[in-house]
Order: sequence, then structure tokens, then C-alpha cells
Amino acid sequence: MARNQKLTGVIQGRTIADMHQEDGKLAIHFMDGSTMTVKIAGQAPADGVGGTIKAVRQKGTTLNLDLVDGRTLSLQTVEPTASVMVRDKNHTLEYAD
Amino acid sequence: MKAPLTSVCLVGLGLAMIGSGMACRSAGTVAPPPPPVRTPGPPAVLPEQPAPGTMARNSPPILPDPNLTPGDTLDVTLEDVCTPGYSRKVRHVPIEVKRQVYAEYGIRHHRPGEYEVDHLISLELGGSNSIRNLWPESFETQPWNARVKDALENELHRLVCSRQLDLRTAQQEIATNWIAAYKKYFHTDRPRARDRGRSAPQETAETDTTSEGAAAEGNVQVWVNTRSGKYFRPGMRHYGKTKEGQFMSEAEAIRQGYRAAKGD
Repeated sequence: MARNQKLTGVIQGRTIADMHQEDGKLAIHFMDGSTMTVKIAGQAPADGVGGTIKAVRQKGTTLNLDLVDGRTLSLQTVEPTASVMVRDKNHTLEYAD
Repeated sequence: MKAPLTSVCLVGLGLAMIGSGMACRSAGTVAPPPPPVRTPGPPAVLPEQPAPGTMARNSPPILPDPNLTPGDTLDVTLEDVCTPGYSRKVRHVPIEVKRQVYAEYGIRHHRPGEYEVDHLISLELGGSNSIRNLWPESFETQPWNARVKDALENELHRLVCSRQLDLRTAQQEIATNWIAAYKKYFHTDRPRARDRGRSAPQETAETDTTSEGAAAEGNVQVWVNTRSGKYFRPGMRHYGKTKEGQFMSEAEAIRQGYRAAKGD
């Protein structure tokens, strides 16, 4: 599974403060105030809080968030593209797909 | 003030919905969106009869099939799309998705520079990378082709960011019929000469079904390094050779914020 270099460059080193799923969207809030929203199919993993992003890998509808502690949060997006967006604490767009 | 835009089903609602059975999407829908499986449509055909004189060839589409490509937008604001460098924040379309686009339009082989996988609603107008917003657009059809649409995209972006045109209106018009939109905003029935580009790209011996863009006059096909943000012209050492990158026209590279590599 290939690394998503662009998204990795944006969120690498950020620590997950909270994860919240609603209406088919998963909102991952980071400690620095930024938020990543992912349009997901099904349930999101619940054990990501406290983890720090090491890398992002993506293939098809699978989006893997590799954490520094060795865990991987595996998300299923609704489609291979157009499912992920990151905004910083000022709501400025940092990444979109 | 930021006014979030919702993802909407933009094109010919009747045509698109009846033909494909796809649900019109909106942000914040309660039910999960349907899987991104497109109903196969007729290969490489026009969704409607073009105006007389709009098509010189029979096979390449000059308008997308609304069943396959109704258009799709990101949840972005006017401020987002009018921020310099916005397009560079958007992920590139994965090659697997591009291949799927070609396949669904029945295009199995094509020469370098013959087509690009185009965002029907352009990135700079908030278009998304969803396959519902992608179609194979020819550089070779005359007079309407990818370069002509590029000119329209630039003009609509200029109008939107100068507050002369509503973003959602621009999205709807380019998605509904980009040729009609061109005629409306450029006040002409035919593309301006400077927008048409050359009719055929440079011939190459190799067939590369993944490369895009055209080495055409005034619109050279360059290789962009999607990691460094630089682009390379033909003949440069890193042209087509960086680990991450893609081909696109030089105009598109500049519009997306890439910088020309020096020396090399």
C-alpha cells in the first residue's frame, strides 16, 4: 500500500485528541486544533485517541493511519477519492481529496 | 464570512438521475453515501446532440456523459478556492482512478497527449477528485477541446474570485454544459483562436496509456514533481523520472502553483 505523501506531510507528528463519527463522516481532532474529516463507510476504529501520526498509506478505499506507537488505524472511505479533508485550527484548508 | 458549500449533484438532474439511478449527494446526509460505482454508460459518446459544427470527430467526447460524470464538488468555500496555491492542496487523482475513467468511457488505448482526465468542475472551482467529476477530455477535437475548456476554467475562476460570479453558479454552468458556458462568458459561438491550441500533439513512438497532456505549441507537456512542487520540461534530466509526479500541460502546472525547475 503506497504512502500518501501529501497527506503524510500535512498531518505527520500530530496527535489525535478526539475522534467523532456522525452522518457518515469521521472527524479526527488533533491536539494542535486541526481537524481531519473522512467520509467513511461503516464504523471507525475507536482506539486512536492519544496516537501520533507517523504516516498515511492509501490504496483504493482503504486509508491507513500509521501511528508512532506501532498501531495502525484502518479506515474505509466511501470512495477512493474525494473523501478526506484537513483544516487547521483557523479553518484554513490544508489538504483535500 | 465563510459559507460552506455542500456537495451537490450538479448536472442535468433529470438526465443524470434517470440514467444512472445515482442519488443526488449533499453534505451532511444521514445515510452513508452510495458506493462509488458508476453505471456503465455507452462508451465515448455524447450525452446529447452537440450543436452543429461543435464536433469534428465522432468518437472522442467533447461533453461528458452525464450518467458517468454529473460533476461533484468538495466542501470548500469561496475563500478556499481563491487562495493562491489552493489546487496544490488537493491530492492528485490516483492512476487507478484515471484508468477506471478511461475504461468506463470505453477508451482502451490512447496516445500520449491525446486525452487528459479532466475535472468537469475544475479544481479551482471547487471540483472534487470523485470519479463522478472526471472524464477523458480530448486535446484533439476541434474546435472544442481540453485547451478551450482550460481557458473557460481560468475565466470562471477569475470571475468568481473577483466576486463577479457566484461560485455555485459557476460550478453548475461548467458542469451542465461547458461549451455553452464558454459561449456565454466569452460572448462567442466558437473558441477564440488562442484557446484552441494545436490540433494534434507531437507524435511519439511509444504508447503510454497513463501519461497526460500534450506537447503542443504554447502548451508543452511537463512533468510535475508532486512532492517538491517543481515541474520539468521535456529534455530535462528529471522529466518523467521523479518518484512522484505526473504529466500535465505547463499551463495547468502553473495554475496549480508548480514552479519551473531551473537548470537541470
